[in-house]
Amino acid sequence: MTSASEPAWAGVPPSAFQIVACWYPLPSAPKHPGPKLRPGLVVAVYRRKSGGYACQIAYGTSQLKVAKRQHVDLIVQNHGDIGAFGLANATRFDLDNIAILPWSGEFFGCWGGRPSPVLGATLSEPYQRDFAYKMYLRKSA
Amino acid sequence: MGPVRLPRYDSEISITTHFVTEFSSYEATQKTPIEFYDDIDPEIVRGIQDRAAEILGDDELELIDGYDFRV
Repeated sequence: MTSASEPAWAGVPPSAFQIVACWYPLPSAPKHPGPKLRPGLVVAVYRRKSGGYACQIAYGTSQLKVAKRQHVDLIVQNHGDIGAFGLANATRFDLDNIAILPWSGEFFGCWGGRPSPVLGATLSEPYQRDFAYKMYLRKSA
Repeated sequence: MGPVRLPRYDSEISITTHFVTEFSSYEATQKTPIEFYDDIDPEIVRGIQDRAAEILGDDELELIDGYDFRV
């Protein structure tokens, strides 16, 4: 159930492997999401027993660090994919720093007047396989 | 099909103006702002997670999509 103060989109969860706009805190106040939105990859979606939803999110950065992180993180840098997934730039999703967040207006926001924090199409299968492989390597390490 | 007519520019200034205009109109069609993001700070992610944990409390979470990589 969504509370009256929550936006309408909070009643409709995103899908796994969609990219959403998340509020990211300032270093001076890490427990207060905002003031800037940045892309986050939805890794898992949960239904909360008390009502509403929560998502597991891998935050995105435009600091690609390809040489250092290409084998551990998910990097979207193909020009066509950047547009299709709703990104503005080539983006690396940091798989070492994943958080479970309530799907609510405190943690997510709408980018560029969109009706929902969801930015674009679901990541295509090669990205999903790449993600699964990298997470498998982490688990088996 | 006839010969392709390329645009002609009288001076370097007009060429610059042309590309500045083209870039501006390209930027205006973007769906999201062109921004660059700092690297992910593990301390910040921990802070967000702490705040989220305060809200989620001991609420039971049922996986409905994706992969649960909680360890």
